[in-house]
Amino acid sequence: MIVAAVGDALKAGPSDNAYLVLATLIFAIGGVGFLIRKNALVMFMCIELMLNAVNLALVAFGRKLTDIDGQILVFFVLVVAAAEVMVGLAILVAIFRRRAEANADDLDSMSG
Amino acid sequence: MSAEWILYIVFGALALGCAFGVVFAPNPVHSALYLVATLLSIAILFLAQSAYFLSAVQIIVYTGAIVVLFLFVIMLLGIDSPDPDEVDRLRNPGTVVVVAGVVVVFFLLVQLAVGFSWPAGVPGTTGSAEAQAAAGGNVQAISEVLFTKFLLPFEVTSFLLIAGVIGAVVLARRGRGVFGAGIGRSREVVEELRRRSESAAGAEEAAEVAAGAAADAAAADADAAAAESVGAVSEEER
Repeated sequence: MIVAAVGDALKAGPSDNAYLVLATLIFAIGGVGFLIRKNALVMFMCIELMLNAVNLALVAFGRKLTDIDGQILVFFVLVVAAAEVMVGLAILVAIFRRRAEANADDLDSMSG
Repeated sequence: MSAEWILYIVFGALALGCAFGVVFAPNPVHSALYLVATLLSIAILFLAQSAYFLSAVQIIVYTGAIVVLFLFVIMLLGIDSPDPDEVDRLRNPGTVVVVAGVVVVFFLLVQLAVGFSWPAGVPGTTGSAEAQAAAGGNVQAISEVLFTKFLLPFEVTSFLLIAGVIGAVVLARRGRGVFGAGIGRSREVVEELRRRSESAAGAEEAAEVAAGAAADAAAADADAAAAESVGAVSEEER
């Protein structure tokens, strides 16, 4: 019976939960990376990972609910990600011009 | 086994492995290349879910523009070598961070496996395969909704992009402003780098004296020559 159920599942293709599990894992990896890395550039890359995990989940939701709004939301997330990277990298360049390094741990001149 | 399972397993595993690579590669350039692989895998997973337009946009915008921008900045700033402190931290990440990550993953997965239930409301119709086929395809179906229901957010998006471009130009432009002159390093940073290299040379000299290997005068000459050459380099940079 179990074999038959597994066979049916394999024939049916991955469920929507399968994509959500994958998105969860990628999101968590990105979040942990954001916490443990010092290099500001790699921290940005981890944010991109988290945004992409959310995009994957949005597409899965949209397919499950047979509504194309999910894909449109991904489109807007993409635009926001592009704008964020543009400004963020410009800030990094400006910081790097004033200081000898761009480690997030050393950029604490505004902390009280 | 359906084709979608094969795509899901192969490219899901690839995305996960390369996501680990992004986090744990000590060299930022390697991180960026792992990021490309992750984003391409996710584009394939979009394809597997028949989001063809997003798959193409993912490849064009993310791997074609954003990661190239990352690599460009890495090369421009010259931080393409691993930081020893950071390598230390990657080998021994704080236990708090590891425990927090494991706990978050555990609870999210339990939530998905046990507690998550899809809403019972009426499903939409615009995303069904028939509706997309009637509209003429995935791209046409997206555009029909994007330019009617989401027209205002779409236009606001252009304001966001313009604000981003202006912000980037203000922050990074060459010229006299609050952020100093030019793409190169400011004078204070050059001075600090020179001081560091001098103190490193001084430490080497002290070690030599302790070993009693070199004559004092020769060492001082070498030190002065090193300081001069560093000064010349920083002059050139300026």
